[in-house]
Amino acid sequence: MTKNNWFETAIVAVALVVVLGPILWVVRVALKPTAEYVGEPANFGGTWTFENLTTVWVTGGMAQAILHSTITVGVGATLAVALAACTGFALARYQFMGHRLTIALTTGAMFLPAAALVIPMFELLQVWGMLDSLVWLGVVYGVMFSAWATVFMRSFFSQLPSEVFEAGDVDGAGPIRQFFSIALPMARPALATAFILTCFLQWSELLLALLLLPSGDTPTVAVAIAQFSSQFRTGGPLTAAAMLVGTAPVLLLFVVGQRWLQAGAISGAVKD
Amino acid sequence: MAAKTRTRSKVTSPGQAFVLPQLLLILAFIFWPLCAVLYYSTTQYDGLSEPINVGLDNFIFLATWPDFYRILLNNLLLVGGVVVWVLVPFVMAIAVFPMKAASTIRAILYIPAMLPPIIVGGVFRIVLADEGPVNSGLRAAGLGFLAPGWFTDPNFVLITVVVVIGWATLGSGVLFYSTGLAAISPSFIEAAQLDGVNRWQMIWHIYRPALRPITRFWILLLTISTVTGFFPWIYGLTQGGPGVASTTLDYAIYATLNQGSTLGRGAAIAVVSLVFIALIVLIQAGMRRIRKTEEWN
Repeated sequence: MTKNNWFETAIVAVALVVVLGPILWVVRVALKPTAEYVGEPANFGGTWTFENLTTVWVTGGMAQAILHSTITVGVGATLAVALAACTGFALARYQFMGHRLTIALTTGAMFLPAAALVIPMFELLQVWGMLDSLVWLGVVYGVMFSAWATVFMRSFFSQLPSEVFEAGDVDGAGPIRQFFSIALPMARPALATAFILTCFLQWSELLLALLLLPSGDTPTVAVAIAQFSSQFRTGGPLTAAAMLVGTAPVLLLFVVGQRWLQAGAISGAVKD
Repeated sequence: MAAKTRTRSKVTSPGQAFVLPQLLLILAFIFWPLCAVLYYSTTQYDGLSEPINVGLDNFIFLATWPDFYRILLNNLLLVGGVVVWVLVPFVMAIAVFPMKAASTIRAILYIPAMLPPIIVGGVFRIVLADEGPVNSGLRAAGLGFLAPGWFTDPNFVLITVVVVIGWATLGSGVLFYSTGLAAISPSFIEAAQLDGVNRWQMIWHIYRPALRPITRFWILLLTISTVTGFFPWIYGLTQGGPGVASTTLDYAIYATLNQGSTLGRGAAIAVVSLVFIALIVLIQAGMRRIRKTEEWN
């Protein structure tokens, strides 16, 4: 692997160009006057301007969309991680009637496509007057995405040595005390990882956001960008600018959260 | 592991109280809708008046609807795309692993994985537009005959989808494979090198078996998401078109719902997609069992 590695270098170089090229291109397009882009869509040079960014932020509604998404994802990710922590803890710590059923239901839920469930989901929310509500969309997200988070949290809790909980038993700490004072503090990195990844998945979710917010008055970021790109199907500077603005919060989340996001934490789920 | 020894299968246990909230919510928001969808698939239903039972009419309609075969074929071909989405990160992870700048390179390759799929779609609508940089570049280089109609050619559009999703998932794949590579003992690889094993033998006889659990996990994740998670990619890239040339099952459900009154038909497509997922899981479990018995022999 030391000598003769021109082949490796070449494919990695190609990969870097292929990965970065489209991103740089779109950033460039976002910073270009629309008229100039329409004339010559393949030209990298020309005028640089931040006007598109201000347009999509102020008049394009991206600022509100980010607020909407933050509400929904805040509710959804918190709920998903809270449910997953409780269930994951119980599955790893206790053996009880319904143990296998719980595993079957949470694992099964992971494989069910949202598209298949959306008709009755819509009706359920309609009956209870929860349609067009960012908070209730967040609840639906929380339940949907709690499934994989549970599998993840369970695999984390079952790696903890049982002695820590036995020590709690000896000291007379009940299950609730053990959960809050022993399990959760130890699980902080895993909880953070689950939270960040759930935030990302929910931020990206499109189908439920399109169908469960039918009035279109409170679009999430994904919906707003979908509207932008349907309006300008060929994708102009405004679409590019909207995409740039809509991605910024997720990128920020990854940058801030990256010290908790270890690949090793994910690989726990990969063990054979 | 050892934590579950003491309170074995008690009828009541604190564990039940901890799992109850999630179970109730999952039953209400996921499994009740699942039952309802199974029922609606046998009805004619417009969402307003009561559903009318029509037996298997919706499924008979699907079986006689030529577009539906194209949609199923699209899903099958995209499952074939998994080969690309697994092989490329596998090779890339091995190539990057010994490099000095490995972690920087992996971080760069991971950037697309941090972009929401709808945005990935938007990025490539710009980059692969007919007058966009890629096709213009090809034409300028005198290779105009190679410049495909990325979104307009019904025979090519699925290749576009495979390429774009490959772009978007590369970083995650490389990350997963790298954790696997880090777990292989270096002495193992040194020993192989001392024995004069060449690069391809190394990949085939050492990396491939050592990384098998990761490959299996990655394949399962990707194949399942061809049915469950491709909607935003398809929506952003092609909106299922041209015609139904890139429509997948989940996009077809969305399109049916958007047309309005044929909810029963949408439910029937949903049931087909559930069968599709069940088949994927069964096939994968079956292949795993076959491999296990082979290893025993």
